[in-house]
Amino acid sequence: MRVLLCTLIVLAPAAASAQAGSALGEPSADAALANAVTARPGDTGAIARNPGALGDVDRPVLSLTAHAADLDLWFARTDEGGHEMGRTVAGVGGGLVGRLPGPDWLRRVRLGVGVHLPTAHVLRLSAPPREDRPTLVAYGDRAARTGATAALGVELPFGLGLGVGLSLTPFLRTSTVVGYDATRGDTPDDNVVIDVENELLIESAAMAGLRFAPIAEVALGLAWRGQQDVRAKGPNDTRAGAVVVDAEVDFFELFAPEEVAAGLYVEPVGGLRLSGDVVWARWSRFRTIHDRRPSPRFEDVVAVRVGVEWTPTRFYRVRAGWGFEPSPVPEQTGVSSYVDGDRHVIGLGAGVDLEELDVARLRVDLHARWHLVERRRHTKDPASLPDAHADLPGRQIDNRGYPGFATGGGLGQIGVTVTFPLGAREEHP
Amino acid sequence: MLAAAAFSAACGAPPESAPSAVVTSDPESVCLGDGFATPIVLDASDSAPRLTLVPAPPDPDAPPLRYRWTLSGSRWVLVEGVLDGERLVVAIEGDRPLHVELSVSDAEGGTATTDHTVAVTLPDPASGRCTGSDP
Repeated sequence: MRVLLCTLIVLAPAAASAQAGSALGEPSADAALANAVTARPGDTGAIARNPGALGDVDRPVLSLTAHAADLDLWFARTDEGGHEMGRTVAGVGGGLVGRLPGPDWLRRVRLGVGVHLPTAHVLRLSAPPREDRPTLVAYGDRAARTGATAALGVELPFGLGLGVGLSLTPFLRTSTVVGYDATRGDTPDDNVVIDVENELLIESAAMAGLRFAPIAEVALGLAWRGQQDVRAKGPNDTRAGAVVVDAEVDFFELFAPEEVAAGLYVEPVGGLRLSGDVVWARWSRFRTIHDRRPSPRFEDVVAVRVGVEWTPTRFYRVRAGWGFEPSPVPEQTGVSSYVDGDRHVIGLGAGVDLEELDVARLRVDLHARWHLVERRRHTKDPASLPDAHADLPGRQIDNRGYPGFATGGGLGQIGVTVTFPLGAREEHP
Repeated sequence: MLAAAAFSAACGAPPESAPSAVVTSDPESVCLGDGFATPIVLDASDSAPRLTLVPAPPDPDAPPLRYRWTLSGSRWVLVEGVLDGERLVVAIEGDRPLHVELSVSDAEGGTATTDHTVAVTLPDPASGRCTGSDP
């Protein structure tokens, strides 16, 4: 069962940047509302969630976000003490939205760009040495994700907005050739030659969305977001005398499944805004780090999210949100031991608009968010486990999840977004 | 869809020299439900101060390697040796595999870790008896 051990890490540049649809890098307002935002009026968060809402942005805005999360998941084999699989996930991001210049018809179009960088790595893909090791699904390498998104939204008559976007993710093309040059050094160790070439390329995924607001107090939203995945791929050859082995590295990480989100937004009374989303996620296309379909396969899931925002005064607002995200992971009866469970997402937040106070032209939003992952048990089926030592008589079991395991835990996150209006509000053309 | 923009990225310097950690077990598997009946020898003596392509005689002046064993999975008892020794003998309940982690450290602070699992042999479906752990 031993497979290639490789962790590819590209060190990040130490630059501040912005957010673009990362799993944990949304603007604070979106995070506090548990991402029930598909039908809400546009903001920089719409760049990655629903570009159809960008048409609502009535002046150029720049937002900067910073967030940090403490992951606290555990894995415990049946009747054994558990071990923690915790770590810290942090990142910085932001977005910029503005009208296109020119005649009125062109000024109906908004352009938005956003970027997100984790604080640790530009790209991280970890391939465990054994496929039966406990493996995080939602909070593994995909939680610390680099991404950039560009989107266009157009404001149409009758309260209709349409938008399209493109999300970019890194793609590592790597080539490793191990050779042997008998004249190179004094010892066999010195004669080994290893050539490594890496290229960090860009891969893209499309998205599209619409927002229909027949009146200001009611809106519907619909968004489609294409699958985002990351690969590290290339030859991994050994050439030493008569030993010639041509192999290939092919690592795969599903950063975000394809999603279709439908949302409703209402403002029943002045200052109180409610929003809700139903999101279908195509997790059945999940593949392992070695680009193979897991057995058993993951399942598509439907998540529900609701959020409420209350603005008691013009300069202050509070938010809360709840979401339920079913786990796409089936019972782990076979080789793999994916650590995941149904999770409840709870968000809280508040914002202060200093422009309304005539203090400064900026808005500050804070959020705290919790992911509560339900406790879950799995039981291995010996018939689904491979014979660990085919050379020995009988059937040998060495699976690290045998005879079964339980998982649970959660994540706590805090974040802040500072939004800078870059001009005066403009009437719609 | 692959965009044309590309740039090179470096992955850092080679790692510092570290020892190699090697575990052998005898036997490699015991019957399911062994009930602490079979002594299992866990041996780290194939570990080396430095990973090399060809066998190298040990340096008599080099400080000895330090070992640390961590056992999980099946309940176990120590029959012989200590958990920071080069070799130890354990027996296990055998309701599940024994997962062994060996950490080897050298005098310069270099550390290497490796995993090993002592499997359990399922009973033969026909006879209901365990037919096959190592002798």
